Amino acid sequence: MNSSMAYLAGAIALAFILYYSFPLKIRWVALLIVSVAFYALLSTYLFAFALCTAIGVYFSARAIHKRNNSIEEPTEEDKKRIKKLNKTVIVITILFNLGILAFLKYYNFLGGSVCSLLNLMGANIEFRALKLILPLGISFYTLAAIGYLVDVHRKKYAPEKNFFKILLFLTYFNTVMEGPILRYDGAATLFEGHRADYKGICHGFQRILWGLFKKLIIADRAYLLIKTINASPTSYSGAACLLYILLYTLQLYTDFSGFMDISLGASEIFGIKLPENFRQPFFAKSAQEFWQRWHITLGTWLKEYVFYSVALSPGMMKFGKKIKKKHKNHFTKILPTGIALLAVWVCNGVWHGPQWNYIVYGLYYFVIIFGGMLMEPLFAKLYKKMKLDSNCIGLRIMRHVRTLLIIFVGETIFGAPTLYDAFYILGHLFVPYDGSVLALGLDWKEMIVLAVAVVVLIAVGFIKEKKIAVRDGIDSLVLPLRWLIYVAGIAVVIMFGAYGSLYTSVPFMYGNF
Amino acid sequence: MNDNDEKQNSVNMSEPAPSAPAPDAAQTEDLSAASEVSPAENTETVSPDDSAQAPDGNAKKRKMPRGKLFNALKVFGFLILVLAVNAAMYFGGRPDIPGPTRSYRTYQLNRMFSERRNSIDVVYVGHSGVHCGVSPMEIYDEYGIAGYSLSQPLMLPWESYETVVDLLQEQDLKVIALEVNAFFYDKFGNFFNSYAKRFTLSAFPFYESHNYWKDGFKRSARDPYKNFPFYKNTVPYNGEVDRSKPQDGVYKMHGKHMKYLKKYVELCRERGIELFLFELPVVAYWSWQRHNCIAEFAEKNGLEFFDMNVGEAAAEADIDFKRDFMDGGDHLNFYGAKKASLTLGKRLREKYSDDGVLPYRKGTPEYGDWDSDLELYRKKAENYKDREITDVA
Repeated sequence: MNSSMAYLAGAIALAFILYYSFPLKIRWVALLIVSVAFYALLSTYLFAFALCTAIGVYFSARAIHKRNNSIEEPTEEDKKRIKKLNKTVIVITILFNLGILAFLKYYNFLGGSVCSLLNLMGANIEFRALKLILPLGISFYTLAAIGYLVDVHRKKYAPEKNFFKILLFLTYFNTVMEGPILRYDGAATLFEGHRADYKGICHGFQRILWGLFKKLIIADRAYLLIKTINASPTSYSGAACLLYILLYTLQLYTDFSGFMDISLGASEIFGIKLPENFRQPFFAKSAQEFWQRWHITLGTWLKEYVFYSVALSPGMMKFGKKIKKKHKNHFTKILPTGIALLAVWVCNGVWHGPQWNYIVYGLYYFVIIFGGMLMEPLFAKLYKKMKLDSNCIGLRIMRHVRTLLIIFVGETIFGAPTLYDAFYILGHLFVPYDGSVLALGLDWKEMIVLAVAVVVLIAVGFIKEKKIAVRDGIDSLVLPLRWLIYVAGIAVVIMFGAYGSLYTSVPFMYGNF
Repeated sequence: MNDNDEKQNSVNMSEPAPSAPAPDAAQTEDLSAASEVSPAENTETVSPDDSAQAPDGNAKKRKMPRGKLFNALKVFGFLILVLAVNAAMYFGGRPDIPGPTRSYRTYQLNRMFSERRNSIDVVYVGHSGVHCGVSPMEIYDEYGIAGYSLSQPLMLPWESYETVVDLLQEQDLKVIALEVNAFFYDKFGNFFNSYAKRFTLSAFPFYESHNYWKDGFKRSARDPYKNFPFYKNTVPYNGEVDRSKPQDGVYKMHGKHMKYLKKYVELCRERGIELFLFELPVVAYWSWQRHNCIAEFAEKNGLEFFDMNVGEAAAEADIDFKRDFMDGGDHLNFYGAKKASLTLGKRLREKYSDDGVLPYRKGTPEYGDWDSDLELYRKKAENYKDREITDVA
């Protein structure tokens, strides 16, 4: 357990008391108070950044909306003029917000890279790295803010009149650390007053417990081995590398999705429904499907605001038509999509932070997905020639295994300390390891606990994949049995949770992005 | 390889809406597929109308006015049950270590209580600097002194004092070697940390003890290295260190710390234990004023203060500030610890003869277990023979 977890627990408890003691109409104010206090506690004066963003998008959105409705029956010329003005406002606001993010996040990386490049060419510049601290959740709320602004611009909904609602939308304590990245029209339940609902509250706590199970029993336990290998990745091979690859992906998944369970569960306590961020990602049958099941809100955001912005931009449309006219083939047909996809995946990589790992990770998925699209007709032909049913069980299994390989390799690139380490680990997978894998931080007792927990995780995944509502199932049991399940769950988390001085409490991993 | 199954989706993404200004419809449809599937799973589970409904799904209860009261009672009953189970787990699953709730102690430190009764003659007491900087087995090997590092990160005097008192229930200590730096840990953060630890332990008694599942809820295995962590990495101290000229001035020790220093003196007098004050080589938290403070106290109470930062002791320890620290001047690494331990052991042996206060234990029949620990220690230390500089200069 670490301090941010303790603060979050405190915030949930405080919000619970305040929320249900406020009058129904202004219950969202209770959430705002707790959110601001939570932010100020964790990030102190850096709250100013979040406030700036909130003020910026609030007024820009209002201005855009006002100008859109300023003339009752606009002529074509008016429309054009308004569109142009609005575009200027929106571009300035987005650049301002991205500018803050880019400066705080990438200044040292870019500055350092440029300087070493110049120095290589003979210049003699000393780069002074700045000690920059990131405001809590800046990568997440910046995206939410931009999404809101673009939606208003695209006339999806009218802008919010109440500034404090925007502030809550951006800094809601359950989402500010790691998301899910909210869309304003999807966050309506945040502002409604909800009566205490016994079932919702029960389900909320159940989900929090499940999140703790993932985080404390699996993620932080897996870290015991990750920590050992991260310290000097180049001294391991074979089984050690295999374990690293498997456990890092497992750790990242259980850490991130465990936190999502906690934040969605905690929101459920207040009757708030947030968008899901994960949907059994390891059941995906293709890289593309994986991204519809993993970090869903980021994927959706990028699709909505990067993919479409690029693909539907007038320049791109013109370009698409032009090359289609010149050479009509499969490649020219999908090229504009490919360019938009490249933008998406570069953004995905860069968003995660200023490290080559992340950029290569983004490009890795671009190559796989775009490559898949390019080869599609080829494979269709091949299947036809071989008289194979593209949906037969053999191919389905093969696709599944292939996707799992893609995921594990991808997350290793993503998570290893450096890009070199990632390739070293992947490259030494088949070089025998002469040490004992039990000496890497996970002794056999820890291994057994981890294995049992993973079996439970997979089993729950199967049940959810079959669309069976686990929690409703528990609800329908008789009281003693139901309580037995709860108490056993709590006892298991307390007993086998990887917390205390023997373990390293890992702050939620996506909190750093 | 193709992504045939996602054909539908890729078509959706690859073929933008035909006419430019109509992205909205296309997008919303497309997105609903991605973002709304998952919440759908929950839509049925929580519906605001069911607010008074008992979770049993018993629809009759909805109209009963006592539904809310019943639920409240149930919640209360459930909490009592959880607390009872927790208490049962705690008391049933806790090894019989003296006083584990009195003061926050790590699992690692509690391994001290797994040592054979009356086998420890000396404890080296203090904050993290002590377990990093004193290797009890090194001293055992060279001078036959059976010692143990009673130390954990940020350990404050009252925490170590309570632990010593607990340890005395099982061990017949001859000497307490007290590292004095912890007596200057008097910042707000230090106090806060100490109280937070206590609060954590009283609110969640499981915080440390849940780890005993690994030991079948009994005391854990003995630590052959006697709480020495073998830190290999090196981060140099790059400043100048000149302590040849004594300075005036005395650091004013915080009242609470002074109280416990006096309690140590009292405890040792009562139990007939020798109290030996020492200070490990350190850059970060050492000053002449602190030295003077302890030296003055030692003189007043007829104690020895062995400061390895000044005079002959410093020369003997011969610490290389560029190579012997793991963090630029606060904690010694393995190599620094070896030097400091031998210096400390030598002084202890000089002061307490092997046929008097501190018996020579190595190789004696009762200490067969420690001798096999020593073998393990030597084996591990062998890996550290070649110093590997991992520092950034």
